[in-house]
Amino acid sequence: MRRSNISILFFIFCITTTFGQQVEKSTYGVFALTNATVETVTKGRLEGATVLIRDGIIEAVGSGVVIPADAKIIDCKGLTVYPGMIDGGTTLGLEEIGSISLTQDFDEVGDLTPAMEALTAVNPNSVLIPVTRVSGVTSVITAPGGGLFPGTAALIHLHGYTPEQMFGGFKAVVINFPSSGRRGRYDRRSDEEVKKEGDKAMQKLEETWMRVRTYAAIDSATQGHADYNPEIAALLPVFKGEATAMVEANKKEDILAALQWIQKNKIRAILTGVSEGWRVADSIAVAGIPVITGPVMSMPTRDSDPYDQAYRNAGLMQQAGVKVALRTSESANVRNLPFNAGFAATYGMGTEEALKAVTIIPAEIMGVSDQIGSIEVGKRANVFVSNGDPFEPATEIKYLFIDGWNVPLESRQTLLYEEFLNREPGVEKKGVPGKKS
Amino acid sequence: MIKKLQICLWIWLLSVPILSSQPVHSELPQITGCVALVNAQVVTAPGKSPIVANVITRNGLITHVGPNASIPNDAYRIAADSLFVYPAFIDALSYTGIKEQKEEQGSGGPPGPGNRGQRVTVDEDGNPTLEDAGLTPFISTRTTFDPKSKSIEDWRSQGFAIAHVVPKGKMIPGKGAVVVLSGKSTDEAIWKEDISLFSQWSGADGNYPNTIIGMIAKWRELYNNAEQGMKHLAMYSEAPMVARPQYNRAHQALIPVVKKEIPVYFRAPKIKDIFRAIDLKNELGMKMVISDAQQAWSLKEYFQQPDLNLVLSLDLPEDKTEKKKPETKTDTPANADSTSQVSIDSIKVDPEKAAFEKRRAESHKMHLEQAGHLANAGVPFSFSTMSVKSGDFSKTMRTLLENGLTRDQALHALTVAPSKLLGIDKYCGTIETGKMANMIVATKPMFEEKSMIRYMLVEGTLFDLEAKEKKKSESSASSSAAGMLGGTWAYVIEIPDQKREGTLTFSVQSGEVTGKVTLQEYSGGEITLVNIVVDKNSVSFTFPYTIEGQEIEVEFDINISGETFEGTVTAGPFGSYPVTGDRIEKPD
Amino acid sequence: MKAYILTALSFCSIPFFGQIPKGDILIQNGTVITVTQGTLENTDVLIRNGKIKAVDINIKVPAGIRVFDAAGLYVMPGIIDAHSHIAIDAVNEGTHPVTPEVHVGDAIDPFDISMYRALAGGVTSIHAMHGSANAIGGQCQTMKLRYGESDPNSFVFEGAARTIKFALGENPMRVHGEGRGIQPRTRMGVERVIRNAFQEGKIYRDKWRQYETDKKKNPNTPPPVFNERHQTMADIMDGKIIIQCHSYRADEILMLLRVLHDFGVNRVTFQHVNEGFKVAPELAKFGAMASVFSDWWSYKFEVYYSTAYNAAILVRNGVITSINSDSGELIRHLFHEAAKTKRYGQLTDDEALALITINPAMQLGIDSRVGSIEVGKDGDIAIFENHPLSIYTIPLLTVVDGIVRFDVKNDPKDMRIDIDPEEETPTYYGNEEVEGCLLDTDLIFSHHH
Repeated sequence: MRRSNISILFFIFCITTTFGQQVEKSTYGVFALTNATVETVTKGRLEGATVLIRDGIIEAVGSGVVIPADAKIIDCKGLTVYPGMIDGGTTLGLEEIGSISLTQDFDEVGDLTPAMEALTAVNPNSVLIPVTRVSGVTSVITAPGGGLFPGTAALIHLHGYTPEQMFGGFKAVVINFPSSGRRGRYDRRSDEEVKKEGDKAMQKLEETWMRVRTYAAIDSATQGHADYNPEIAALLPVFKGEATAMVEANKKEDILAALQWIQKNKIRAILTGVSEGWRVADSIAVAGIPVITGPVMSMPTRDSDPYDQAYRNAGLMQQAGVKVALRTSESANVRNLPFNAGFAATYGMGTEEALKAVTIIPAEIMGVSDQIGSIEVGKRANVFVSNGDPFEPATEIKYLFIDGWNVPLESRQTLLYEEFLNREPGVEKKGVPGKKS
Repeated sequence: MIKKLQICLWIWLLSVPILSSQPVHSELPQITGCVALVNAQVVTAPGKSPIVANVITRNGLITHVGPNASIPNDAYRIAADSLFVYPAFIDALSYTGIKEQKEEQGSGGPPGPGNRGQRVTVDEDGNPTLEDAGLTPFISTRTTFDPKSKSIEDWRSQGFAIAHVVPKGKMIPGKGAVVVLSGKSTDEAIWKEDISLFSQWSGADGNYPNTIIGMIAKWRELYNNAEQGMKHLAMYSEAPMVARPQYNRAHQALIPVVKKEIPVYFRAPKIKDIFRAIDLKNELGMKMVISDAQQAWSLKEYFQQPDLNLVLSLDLPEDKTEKKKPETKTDTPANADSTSQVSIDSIKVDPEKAAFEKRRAESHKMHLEQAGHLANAGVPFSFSTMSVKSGDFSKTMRTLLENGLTRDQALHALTVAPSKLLGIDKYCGTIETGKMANMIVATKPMFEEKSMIRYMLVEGTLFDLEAKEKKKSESSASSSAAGMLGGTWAYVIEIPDQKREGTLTFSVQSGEVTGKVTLQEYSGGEITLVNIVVDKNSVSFTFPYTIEGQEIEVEFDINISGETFEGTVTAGPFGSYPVTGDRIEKPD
Repeated sequence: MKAYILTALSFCSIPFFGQIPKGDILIQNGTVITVTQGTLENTDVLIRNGKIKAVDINIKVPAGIRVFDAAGLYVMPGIIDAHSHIAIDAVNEGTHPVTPEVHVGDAIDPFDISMYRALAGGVTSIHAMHGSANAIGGQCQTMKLRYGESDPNSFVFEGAARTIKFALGENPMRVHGEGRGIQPRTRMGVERVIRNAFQEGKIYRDKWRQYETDKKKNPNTPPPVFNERHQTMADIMDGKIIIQCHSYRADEILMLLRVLHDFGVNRVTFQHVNEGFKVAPELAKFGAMASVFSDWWSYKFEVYYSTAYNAAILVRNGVITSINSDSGELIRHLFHEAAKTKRYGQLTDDEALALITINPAMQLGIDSRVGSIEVGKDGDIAIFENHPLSIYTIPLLTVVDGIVRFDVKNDPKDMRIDIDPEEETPTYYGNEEVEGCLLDTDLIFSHHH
């Protein structure tokens, strides 16, 4: 009895260790990416250069870098090193399966829930995360949605086992600016209903802000002893200009109204969505408010619009002088960020600017450009190595580093590929009675 | 006070309909069955010039027409020296006299989880009942016809004596009847019954057929089984050893369609609706009248084919450019200065908007020119009234005349064409001896702006419409309210230590007052006013507003004198404050 | 240059009965990707009266023909979308789990701007499908994007095979089982509903066969009650209709293969078929085909165990595979969706392009007409600025039956045809989407996704 238990334990142990050996883990240490073309984004393109990574940081970049003895050398001949791409708006980590509400953690009950922290609900072990990062996306803003003040978004790096390990040092309160438009083609509300709901939301926004103003006054008068009010308190840093708000507005009229509201209330803001930004690009540029727009690969907002207007939107804003970063608004397919950037590049933005729009620009907009967004000494080692332009579908990503961790390019999707490309058994299974083998 | 004012409002608002629902068309007592229109300008048929003649009717028929027609001694004489006489109109497709049906609550749609009790009936085959599915070809117009319906009088007052009336419903509401717009009872009114089948692309709201694809499949199923059932029935009546036919009421009721004894009037406003109906006709082979059409202008060739006719809708798109006049004013700097709240943006001409407007205007014009275009192309058509209000009829006709339709073409489409379509041209459509005494007696030539219908003769019954004319001028009181209140006002509310400003905008249309308010503090745009009560110069209204998270009702009570007003504002529990205002923009 | 597309409903008379305009064009000096016969440099393609007349170098310019200089450009067969819901006004008759009698070809919308936008993505033919609300949905319509025509009949791909939508798994379960409280609520129920429909179709067919026999003996034999629902099932069993089955999970795919085997049906393309890769050998053995997404997954539970390598695994296992859009947006860049198979499974250029040309043509029974550049085939061509599998490519010219339906150089910004005479500014639509396959079911079932 005892004996058999032991043998079972032994058996189980064997299996787990065998299985364990199959799981490739991230590795950490000193890495020298040598003989590489380096797309620094901020300091040009270097040929035959080395990128030295140590303790999670880019220690050296250039052609004359001395390779330390403890470095693991990765020969990048014929390959290019890029800074990891940043998606300016996703629900990654907050959403696992689209149709199953209990796996969705981005839309809390209530219209006024700015205290909801996206970072709290990020699932570091989401199957969607490895699927994303193998495309070269190393960081995303993951944001709550739904209602007027859905919560607080956070920048996360796509590697780590706790939210704290993933957190990228930027948060923003999301504001869905009231819309005077239809949510989509299948929004069947009457024109009157659309308008009424928009007006009501606007009234609510104004009313909320009036309360924040009052709360701020009481808070300062009482040296921080205002009544407990987490919703209003969460908005206080935005009111005071200490925190950033991500203000979602898409329709032309809504964008203009949002700009006006932002300026009137002197809010530090990022405009998000902005799908009709091209219609009012000059106004946005004059206001000096940065923009995170996307998905690029989407339909024009009106039937009368040119077919490629959504593809051109980001480029048109950028050319008007707006600081433009890109987003996918995705969870499962954040991996398509480089393709969205590629479309923006093709339709007017150009490859160089499009690459910036998914690297240094979002970093600047979030105020973390000292850490990520380019390949520069002292920055976090969020880089990937590819055999060509990462916007091209045919390009392969060869290596990926997040915070200096060399992350294996493996996801459930690649594992399924390996298992099923040549399935064993095939149509006939050996050893099944009555079947030919 | 509010209550009292509200009552005043009701009286004021209702005054127009109440008065007009009195017997303004005082039907003359039938002292005699003979009417003589003496010395009138008579247009006997479309295309004919007016002749000075006497028209004599007796027992519902026209007995004499001509300059020398002698006037019988027992005739009720109408001195018509300055009056114009036309054949009365025939409405090719309408709901005139059909009772309003209340939408059944909860019919349709169902039902997600938790709502299963209201799940639609699904029988073994998965088909709902014919009634739930909206497939009721066995229903006759008679069953929902109300001879006392006000719509009969309304359309008669517009010159109509005959209407082809169909029941309301979904895909196949039922069979149509030719109705004389004078009868006191349903039996008197209905002249010819079940002369058509009415169909439209209207799904069964959550029941099969719900969508256009379900509807077309259902039409095929019904038609093919009607055809088959017809043959089966014939066999059954001849041979004893044949199984009893199992075809249903709907199939039975479609047999006259299959036999081409009656046409299908297919309501098909848009061009896609028309194509789909014509495709169905070509596939199945029924006679069809494309009806209530708004977009048939490019289908001239289609209406050359046999068994296909056309009835155009009188529902014309609204002209949005008219409404925009105040905006265009801002183009001139002088006006821009005088209106205080014009933003710089609205003065700029937006090229994108201009391009949209150009395309919209072209499309709009196309809709208006349709009738004239088709008439000139020789496509015969009649008109349907089912989608329009009787009060808009003469304006609509004038619009069509301004857009290429000639008077004769219009008259043809309202008389001879529908009489042929309905197979009653032997009896009516023109003023000829022996035809039904259906005539319009008007003060001026037909369709002229100031032309008023003085009398209607419907199957010899004389309706005097003068009373209505008088009431109309009285009812123009509403336009004085428009003059007093209409336009945009700037207001100032005096709250201690502060002022609240904003604008009020009122418009008055057919006696109904609507209004909107903007508030300086509130950037959410306009809020719609409710409970607007107008009593002479005093006006009150309310609107909802959220203060401190609490929704309150803000109430205005103001007195207007000329271009200014003063009064009070009550903001729920927050108290009452004085308000003053000036008119900054008058309605055009 | 003549603008071929009427951008408004005009007084011009629409010719009676869907006459289909055909055109002539000579495309010179392009890199011609035939898909089936290799890629030819500096080659001309001549289209006469809507058909490819010649593919050769230095074709003599016929008099009066439009010549398009494609030097430095890429010329490929018009793209075919095997799964679309554009250009039809109804998608789901979701009021019954079995509706094979309905036909989305009855609901063609000639004015859907999505058609022009698809043309601007190089697409020339689409398979407009019934939705997935019902286990057995309606018949689908293969169409050509002749945008600019007004008669719905002008869009029908004349001579295309008849196709019908089936749907397994969550959608019919949710709409009928959860939404309406009737079968199917499980994958067991889906099988039963489909088997019942086939069986009843068989009984119906037998009744008619009996009637035909009896009628010979006794002319007074009455016919059975006509039922197109059953008749369509009989037509499927008689091999007259290709099944296009919405499916995701491996088990349900195998279930349908068993059912089809039992009823003697062998023409089937599985649509979406996210777990097709798991049963690729079985699909190949049956001769079933697969039409997949490039990378959509995780939008519901039955697509959680998906992989973007699906297409590559299927292709490598010998399954005729296509990549489809099921979306008004994706249809605009199917060339890009196909290109993703280079990243996910390293397909060759021709293999990748076959996924959006000849393979979907085979699945729709139109491969003798379209899907490759070959003499005798229809003059359906897409011309690109760069290689169509590059992210930097832009579709420049799209030709349907020899007629230019999209020309980037002659692209009026506002391509609407049927303008609402009362709408001052065209409506703004946000980005919120409803799963195409469940359109029109909102009355029955109000959830999205």
